[in-house]
Amino acid sequence: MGGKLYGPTTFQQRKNHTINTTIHSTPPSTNSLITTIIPPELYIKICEHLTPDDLFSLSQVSKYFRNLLCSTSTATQAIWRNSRLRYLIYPRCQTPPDGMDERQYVLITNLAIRCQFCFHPRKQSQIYWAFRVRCCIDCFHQRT
Amino acid sequence: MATELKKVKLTSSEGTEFIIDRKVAEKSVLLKNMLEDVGESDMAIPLPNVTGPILNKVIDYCTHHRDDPFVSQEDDSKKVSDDIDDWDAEFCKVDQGTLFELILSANYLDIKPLLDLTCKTVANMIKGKTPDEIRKTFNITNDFTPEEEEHVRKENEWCEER
Repeated sequence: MGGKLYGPTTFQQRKNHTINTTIHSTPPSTNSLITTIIPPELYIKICEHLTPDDLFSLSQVSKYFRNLLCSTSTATQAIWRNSRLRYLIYPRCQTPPDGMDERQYVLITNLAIRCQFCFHPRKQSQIYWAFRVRCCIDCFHQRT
Repeated sequence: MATELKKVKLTSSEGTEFIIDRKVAEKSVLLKNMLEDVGESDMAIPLPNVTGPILNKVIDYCTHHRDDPFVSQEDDSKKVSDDIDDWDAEFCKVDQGTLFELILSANYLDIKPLLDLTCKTVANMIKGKTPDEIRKTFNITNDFTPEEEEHVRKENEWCEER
């Protein structure tokens, strides 16, 4: 009995996942057809037609989609990059700045509007690229 | 030429036999390559990954689009369009299980326009929806832990009024 055994264990878990909802490590913990039928590698084809906004919503749907869209894997990065270059006019760089992945890059430049520390609805926020943050002037001073 | 008249035999996973024009079969790059490799043969090609009803749909699609020009991967990447014509839209009016099985088969049989069409259809079911609307559409359970939920909430607060 080992904790992280793959092979037969994984198969067993897959067979049981609709009954045993305590296992979250294998892909779908629901019996939604989209997650049981479509293998992860095919989502890249579906996501080709989704805007960064849609990808962002999808990444908030369930564990499965969060893992799929918040990973640093090449496939996930390609999904966000394709969407960014296809639907956004800015930024057009081929890769995000060092230390940032595609999702964070789109979030900070296009989806986020507030300071990432205080979320203040009326304080204006801006991106400080040196620190890879979007924040208001007050939080910036507090932290530098 | 005579290729138009040649027939090809396919068998679905349950063993149902389908006899179709070679030109229709060649919409599938997998079958096209197989037929080129094998040459003339009366042997049925087994498709253990495709069920009869799905194969039937795939054949409908390939028959309707038999005269479309072949689109290679490279040409296509330039003009990914979101438009779907009426026949194709009607073709995709199927239950979700069938739609997802069609995606799998289009991928396996390597029929790029069908894969594009079915993926586009699924994308259209996601577009413009909130996470909760997406869950309802696909019958997905929100299985986030309270910590993950909190993380999502913060993310949204950061992005509010998107």
